[in-house]
Amino acid sequence: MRHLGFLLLFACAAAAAPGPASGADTGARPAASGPAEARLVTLKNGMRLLLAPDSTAAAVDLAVWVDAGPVHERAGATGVAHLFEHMMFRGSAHVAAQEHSRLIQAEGGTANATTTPDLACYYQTLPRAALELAFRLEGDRLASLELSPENLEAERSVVRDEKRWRAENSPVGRALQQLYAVAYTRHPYRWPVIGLDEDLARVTLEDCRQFFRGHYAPDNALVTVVGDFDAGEALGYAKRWLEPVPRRRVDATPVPAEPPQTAERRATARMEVPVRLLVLGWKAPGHADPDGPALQLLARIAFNGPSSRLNRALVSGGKQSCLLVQGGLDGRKDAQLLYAVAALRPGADSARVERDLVGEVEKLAGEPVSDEELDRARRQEEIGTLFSWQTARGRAEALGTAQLVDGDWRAAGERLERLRRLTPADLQRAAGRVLQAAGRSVVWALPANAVAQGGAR
Amino acid sequence: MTSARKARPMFRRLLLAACAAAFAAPAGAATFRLPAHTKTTFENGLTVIVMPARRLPLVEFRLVARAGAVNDPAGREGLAGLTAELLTQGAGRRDARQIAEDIAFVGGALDATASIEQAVVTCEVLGKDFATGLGMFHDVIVQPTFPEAEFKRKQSETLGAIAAQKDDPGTVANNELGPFLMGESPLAHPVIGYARTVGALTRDDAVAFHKRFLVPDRCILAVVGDVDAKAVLAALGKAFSDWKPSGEKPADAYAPLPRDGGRRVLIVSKPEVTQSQIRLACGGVPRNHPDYFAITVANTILGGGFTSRLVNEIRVNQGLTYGISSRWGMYRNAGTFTISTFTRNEKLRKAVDATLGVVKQLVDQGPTEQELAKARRYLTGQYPLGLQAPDALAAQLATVEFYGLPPDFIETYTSRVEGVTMADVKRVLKERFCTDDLKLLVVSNPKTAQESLAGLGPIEVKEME
Repeated sequence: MRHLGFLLLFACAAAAAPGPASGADTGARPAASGPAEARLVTLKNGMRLLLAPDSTAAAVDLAVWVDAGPVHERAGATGVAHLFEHMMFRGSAHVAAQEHSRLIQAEGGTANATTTPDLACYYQTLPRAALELAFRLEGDRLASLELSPENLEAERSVVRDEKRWRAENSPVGRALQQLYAVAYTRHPYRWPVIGLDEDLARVTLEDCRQFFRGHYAPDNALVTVVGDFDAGEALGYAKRWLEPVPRRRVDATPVPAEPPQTAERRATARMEVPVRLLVLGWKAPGHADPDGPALQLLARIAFNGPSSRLNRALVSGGKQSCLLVQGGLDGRKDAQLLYAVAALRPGADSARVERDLVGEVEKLAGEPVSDEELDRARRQEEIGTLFSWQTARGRAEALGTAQLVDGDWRAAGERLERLRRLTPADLQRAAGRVLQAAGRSVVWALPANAVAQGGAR
Repeated sequence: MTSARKARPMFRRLLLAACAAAFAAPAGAATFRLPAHTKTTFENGLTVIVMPARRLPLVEFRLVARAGAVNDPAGREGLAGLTAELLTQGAGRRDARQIAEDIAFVGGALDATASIEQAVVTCEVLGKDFATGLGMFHDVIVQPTFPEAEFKRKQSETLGAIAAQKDDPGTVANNELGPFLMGESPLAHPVIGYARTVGALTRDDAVAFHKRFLVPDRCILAVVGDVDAKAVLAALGKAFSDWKPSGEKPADAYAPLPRDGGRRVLIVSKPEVTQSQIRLACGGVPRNHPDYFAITVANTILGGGFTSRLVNEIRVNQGLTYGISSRWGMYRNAGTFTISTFTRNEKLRKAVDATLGVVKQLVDQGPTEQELAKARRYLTGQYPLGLQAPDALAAQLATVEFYGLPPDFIETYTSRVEGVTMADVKRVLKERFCTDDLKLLVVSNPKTAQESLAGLGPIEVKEME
């Protein structure tokens, strides 16, 4: 597979290579099939370094990826991974609280972090001349993060505010959370990334220390450097600032596996929602599965935009039983959900909407999509991917995710290649694997103070 | 507070010192390398810039027209904005729905908006959809159909947006500042217009505005991305050969803004607010002014950066606001200097006095060498970060052309910022930044504001329409 991918990459590069266009192409390159070419180096302490230098880039992005997300939390201490992301900005031996961001901003750069269900990523995009500062700041907090009771209390309160704010502002988010709680019985995907309220109230400094010791170890981290920099210089900075971070034993407790689902699962929840929401999810294989791009296109064909199947069937034309239908593929590592959320028009028959929605989606397994639908979805997916690769940050995001979630940075480019070759038959086969009653979960979110209409069983 | 935390500031200083020494950028080293590009003027007067950038198979089209709010006829404020929005609502043989569907089919984006001096049309597609993208881009620029129903819909949306803006005190302040500061200048009114003028517009107004101002001799077209320069010039020449020039000499110059006359105060009445919006402003300089770099550096020190004087003093030290900034609006023939902030009503006078104090002190005494170095560093670091994507490059190339900036503006940005001396900064602070002539506008409770602002200058109270 890898060899094939390489050959295709090469063939494509040759086909797209332009003739010299009146000297206007200095610094230009053949249209790329991946986000960037990269080299993987392992430091003495086990930390991996993915270098993707590009002298035509306008900036450089340095990111520290830690294979430590909510999936590594244990029952009773959910939310630690995200809380920890906040703690990482609270200062270390040589850097005062919040100083990290200020120092990067003073160079004209930006710094931030994100926690996904699978991992945490700390990143900064900055001018080339300031790259060593980023290495130094990251090394300092990996080696000597300040874990004090005051810092924990400050961030606990920030995170609980954040959770309240999110909950208030996103009824769909809360309904989706119910879906995960139903679809997963043992795997940590059943918990919200931000944590359960009772756990956030209870988390101790010892929980945080344990999480740091067990997961924030050099051999559990990947550093991506992407954009305008010199690889030799960057390696020197890495040896100076990152290699001294002592190797630690990584907590190797396996993530609890989810037992196979054999029948449809259902739940009804009463919550603060303006109208009835129907949330559906189908279990799909993890992000690295070769059918990933096909499933992404199926989700687009079903849910994305005014001319998607569900919009035409239930929102704008056809039955007009819903105010909106949205959906997608959640992109998680161990298993994915192909999900949909429908907001019902007042007066619509709940049971019928559910039947229509399930029927429209599962029909994708029964008959091939049209060439036109495939073509439209493919272009949208392709252009979205390429747009995200325009910046050093976007390319770093693609390379780091591919390395940590799919196991190889080249997977980002290979995904795009696979996407370009997909046929209606490929989509139908992928739909057949996933869009089955046995893998389906159904959640009804009903307004707390209203009598439900129709038959939410 | 633990002793470890108390010790922090010292560590911070040590680290800063170490960083400054270890990581100081070699002067002039980090020049921005701009990919090669060509500039051509077509027979119909259209200026065309093409920059092949083949990293990714994407193409960005950008048209910048001298067709902004500054070109709104008196009494028809809002026309430029409405006309621009209608370009994508029917063009050539496509209606609004067909345009949306066809651009969605190729996964692209097609947009048109107006700002103070420009109408901007952008189109982004995959390289393989170049012809489709160009066709639609051409149609919305040259052959918009302005369907009556779409006109009515956009007009009513705009009126709704104008009404909604009245609930946001910050937007009220920004919209009222123009007429207060600039009087009859065509720069003064908000791009969105006023309810009474937008309500009176007709489809014929939009047709006439398009005919008069969206003409090739008032436009710059930039194409950046996966293209061959020669081929793209040929394709553009063919596509836009039906676009006729106006033949008129652009006669839309307007006068620079006066920056004297002492302090005046306008209170825009919003009795229900607990936070007062504050704007301090005066006339500035046009975009192609020779002091551009010195002003930019000086403004970064005053209120442009994250650790500016205004932020440090008004927000961090005195806790009078959550946000404060200063900025220069620079246009073809004139410009403005504006400080924006907000505070609780009872702190209004204190915030105004403290802000004026910070400006006056910087103008009188100048910055420290350290502040100057920090500002240069911030600006030279930030500039290339904003130019990573082809759409940003296309916008910057068009800006250079639109304002008649030096052709090497982008490549020499870094060295010009680094060339700004302490003497330059002190001079522009005295010559270009206002202190006693700053006009004050607040959106506040008129009763408490009148009391607290007494003595600052003649006060006028304005009721909202």
